[in-house]
Amino acid sequence: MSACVRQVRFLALAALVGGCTTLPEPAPAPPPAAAVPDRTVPAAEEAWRERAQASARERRWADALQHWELLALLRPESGEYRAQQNLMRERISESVRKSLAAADQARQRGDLEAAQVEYLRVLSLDHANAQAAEGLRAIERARVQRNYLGRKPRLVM
Amino acid sequence: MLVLIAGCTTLTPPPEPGPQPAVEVKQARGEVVASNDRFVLYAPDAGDSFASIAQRFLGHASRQWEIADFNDAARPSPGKIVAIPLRPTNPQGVRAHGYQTVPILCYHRIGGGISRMIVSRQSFEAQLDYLARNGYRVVRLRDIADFVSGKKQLPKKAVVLTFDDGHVSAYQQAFPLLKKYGFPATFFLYTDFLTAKDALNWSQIREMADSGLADFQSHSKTHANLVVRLPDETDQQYRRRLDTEIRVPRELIERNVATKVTEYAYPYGDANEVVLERMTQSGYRLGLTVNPGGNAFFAHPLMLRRTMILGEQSVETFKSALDVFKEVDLR
Repeated sequence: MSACVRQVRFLALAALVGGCTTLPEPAPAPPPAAAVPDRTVPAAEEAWRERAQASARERRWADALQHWELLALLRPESGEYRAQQNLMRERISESVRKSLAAADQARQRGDLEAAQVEYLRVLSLDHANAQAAEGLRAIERARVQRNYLGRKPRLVM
Repeated sequence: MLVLIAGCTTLTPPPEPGPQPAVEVKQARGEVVASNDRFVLYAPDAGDSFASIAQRFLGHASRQWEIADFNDAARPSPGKIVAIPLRPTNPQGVRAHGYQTVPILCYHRIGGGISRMIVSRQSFEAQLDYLARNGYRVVRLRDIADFVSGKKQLPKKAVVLTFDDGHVSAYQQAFPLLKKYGFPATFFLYTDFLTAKDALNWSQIREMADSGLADFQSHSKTHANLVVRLPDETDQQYRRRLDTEIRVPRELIERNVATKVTEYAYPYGDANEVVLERMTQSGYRLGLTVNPGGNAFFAHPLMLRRTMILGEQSVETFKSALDVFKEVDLR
């Protein structure tokens, strides 16, 4: 192979490889995929169903709700999965209401530890609950004030 | 040649050097089973990884942890459907059995010498290796600002690395190892120290910053303890001195490095209400102490906990500093 031919090949290769690093972020359309094997969907359904039921038994309502939600997405025609989601939402709503009330009572009597647990319980059920999140931040500010801001300095490490 | 061309279409985009080194990611070839605005249910192909799935559905391979964490798995299994969350599912990290905390580790010097502030290079490398091999994900300190404001979900085993003072060992010893592991870190500079012969110089600082792995932030001007009043110092004089300790390092760093200084490590980890007030007025987002422990999403952003890593510590002590979850039965 002549040096000239080698150089042309090298340049073509370099151009291709160089182009790699500047590819735009959006992924190109994926290549045609093989069909989903027959057992894949039923296996997922079975596993998520067991997980949802176990979570509900253990009173992990948010985890149960999430798995019923995945199941409803997998089987949109299923009335059972929609009903289970609604049931979990009702339980979460009731528990959130009780825990928020308990947290407020605990703060009023100055029991910040108990209030913190109640607010955390709310967020374990309703991850977007702003009242509980703000309650926890207020407790932490009070704790920092009490434990750190007023103390003597560390002069030497 | 064909192999190279095929590989071409799947290189990870490089602009944001993330917690993990950039690697080639093959294109995900599985099939979407169902989707809505919250989830994609996906049947992976045998060659798929969470990185390739994240690249296809979340726009970047570095977001693979979101899929791994949600499915509680290290890798996809062929024949097992993967649920891909399209939005953060639990940004605060509160679960029925407890809540997430993010440890921020605090180093000073790496290398030789006898002092509890010096961690040997071998120990430091062993610690990074432990993090890499045990599923910890080193995130940037600035990610904590979004975590504590409830805007950003972090990996379940997120850890932050920081270095105080600006000793030259940060460049000579720590930086090569951080590059090896692809771990980001924040370096807090007290800027009066930068004239010392064993301190970082601006050329080294810029080289580290340009790597995308090192971030430089304030650690005061003089390293004076900010809660200690000078003899006969008036309130006004004290506030003026604090303002200097807060303003000067920021100005100097921003003048020399293309970065925004919004984080401050208090000398000796100490702050008081006056310090916090001046920090807030100066627009700092995060303040770091050396009160040990992990940081929950509700942590005080100007009083973040940080755990010192000392030279004489055992591996077991290091492991105990990796405080990523606080167990509480919330059922």
